[in-house]
Amino acid sequence: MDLIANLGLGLSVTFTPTNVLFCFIGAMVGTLIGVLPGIGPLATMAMLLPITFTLPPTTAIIMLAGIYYGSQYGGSTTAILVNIPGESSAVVTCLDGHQMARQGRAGAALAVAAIGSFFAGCVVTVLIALAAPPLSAIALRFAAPEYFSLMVVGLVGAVVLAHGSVLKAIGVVLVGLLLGLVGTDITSGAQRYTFGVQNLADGVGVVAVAMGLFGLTEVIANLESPTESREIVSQKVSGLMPTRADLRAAFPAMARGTAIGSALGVLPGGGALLSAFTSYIVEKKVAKDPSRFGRGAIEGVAGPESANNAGAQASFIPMLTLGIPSNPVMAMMIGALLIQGIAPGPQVMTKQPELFWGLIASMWLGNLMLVIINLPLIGIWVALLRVPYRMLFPAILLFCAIGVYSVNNATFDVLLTAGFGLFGYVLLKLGFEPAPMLMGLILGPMMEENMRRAMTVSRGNPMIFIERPLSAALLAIATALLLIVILPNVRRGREKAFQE
Amino acid sequence: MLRVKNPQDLAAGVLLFGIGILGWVLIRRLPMGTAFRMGPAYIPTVVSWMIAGIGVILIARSLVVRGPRLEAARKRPLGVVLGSFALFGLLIEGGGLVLASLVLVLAAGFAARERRWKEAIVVGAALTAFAVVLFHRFLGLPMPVWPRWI
Repeated sequence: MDLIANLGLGLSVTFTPTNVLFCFIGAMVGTLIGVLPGIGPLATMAMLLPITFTLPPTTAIIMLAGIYYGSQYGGSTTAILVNIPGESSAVVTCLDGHQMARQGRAGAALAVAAIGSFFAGCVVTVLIALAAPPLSAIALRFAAPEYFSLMVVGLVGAVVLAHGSVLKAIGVVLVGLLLGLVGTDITSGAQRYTFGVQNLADGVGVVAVAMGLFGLTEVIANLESPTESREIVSQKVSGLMPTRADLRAAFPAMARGTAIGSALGVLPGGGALLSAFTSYIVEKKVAKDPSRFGRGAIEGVAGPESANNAGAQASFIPMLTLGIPSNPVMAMMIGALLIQGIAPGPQVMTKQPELFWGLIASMWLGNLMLVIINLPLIGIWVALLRVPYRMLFPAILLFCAIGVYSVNNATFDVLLTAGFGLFGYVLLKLGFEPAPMLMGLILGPMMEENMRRAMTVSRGNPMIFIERPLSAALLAIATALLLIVILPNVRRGREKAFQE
Repeated sequence: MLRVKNPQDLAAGVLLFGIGILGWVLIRRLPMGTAFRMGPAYIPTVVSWMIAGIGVILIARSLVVRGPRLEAARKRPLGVVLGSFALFGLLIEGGGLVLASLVLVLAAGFAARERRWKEAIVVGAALTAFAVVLFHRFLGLPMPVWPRWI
């Protein structure tokens, strides 16, 4: 079996002391920032980029991946104990998880969240291992028109799943695309939008944009909102083990949550957040007595917690096999790999099998570590919440600044990041969601290149995108997705889903 | 008589329209080429037009469909965060990591309503020490630690 041989290779890569150590560091840092509200995985990955320069690519990506799924664990801990979602995807966990804690069942809620996440992590690890090779095989047959159409699907997906106005989301994606075109044109060597600045010749850095839009803007927004007093209801967490009845109720929810997360995580624009919300709605629909939800239903914790972890990990599939980011975190991951000199895409699996399978095996190891290490550490995480934000945010700013500077050792990048912080703030005030912009930025240059190639092959005839069946099918999917959100009744449903 | 029913969308539309027009103006002197052989300006021009177009739709819609008002910006956190961040960038090369870090943390302290100087100095010193140990000692990142004039 190829699968077993491949996973064996992956395990042998993962179980080197360095990789185990960095998998651990990633998972721990991820949990830490998951616990702390006001800082997300994106900014953290950007902050830790300088560390990855000194590491081999495989170790670097193992650590960065650990941050992402680790943050899903940490987010649920604070949601249950303190009713503060440390991560946006843990918002739904607050609903029932905190109620459980108030009823003195915090231990059971935490354990179910951890078990559900671990279960989902294991299933999705196998799923990635199974799905990746055939997907890469298909992707290797893609020519320029197919790639272009695939990226259109990716961008439309980002638009569809963004909050708020569809029109604004399209606008933001296009601005991202335009930003992606800044720099030296590969074909003609012409300088575009560089204003003669040497630092812009290679384009606008992903790190600077991500850090500005997500790191700085978030800090500003947090400082603007009146300081909420964090009431920590830290009653003793006693009896971690859930009862047999709890487990019997929770297991089907975990399975459904994992399935939902795996499906939605693969979708462009999907990932942890959407998976968790969908799972909660599904659990409420499936339940015999929906009125229990919001009052401490264990399914309301098990489902979404499994789903967000499954979603977080499944979103690696399109990134690893197609080289296309399905959400901003994956866009950042691609940015990190590019700095390491690796262009993500279908060729990674064959050219760098140790990176590919090592990453997959590390996810399993990381999930295991999180279960074992995290439950005993819950007291520490809760204590961390007592650190006031006025002491926390200078630290966030400082590490962001060092991270950005160290990418190119350029003052220009730091100033550019501040500029994007301002732009992100303006976007926020005008009701734009910034996430699709990052995807546009990453995909911009790739889309232009493939568009040009396709048009050269077809001698300037745009019909090439429709005449080739695979490309046509992809464009049809994109059109259908767009039509669905524009139709009014679906739009209402979508708003409702986001509000719940 | 036209009346703005959605100030937020109006502003958003104006922003996009401005970006689109700017994108078009700045790329105009480069060759467009043809669809067969696209020049460096071809795709940027198309994307710019699309952005401007979306801006126009948003502006038009803001006159018809009701929507939220513009939220007032609070200048203090915005200015302090961006300012202290930019200061770090300006200081790091000449002043080194220690000075730049300290200045960033102390400047960031202005964002809070009341100033706590002692706390800011302690936090600043601790963070600076941590940054130097982690990034300079352990990771060996090539950045100056002390000011050049020392």
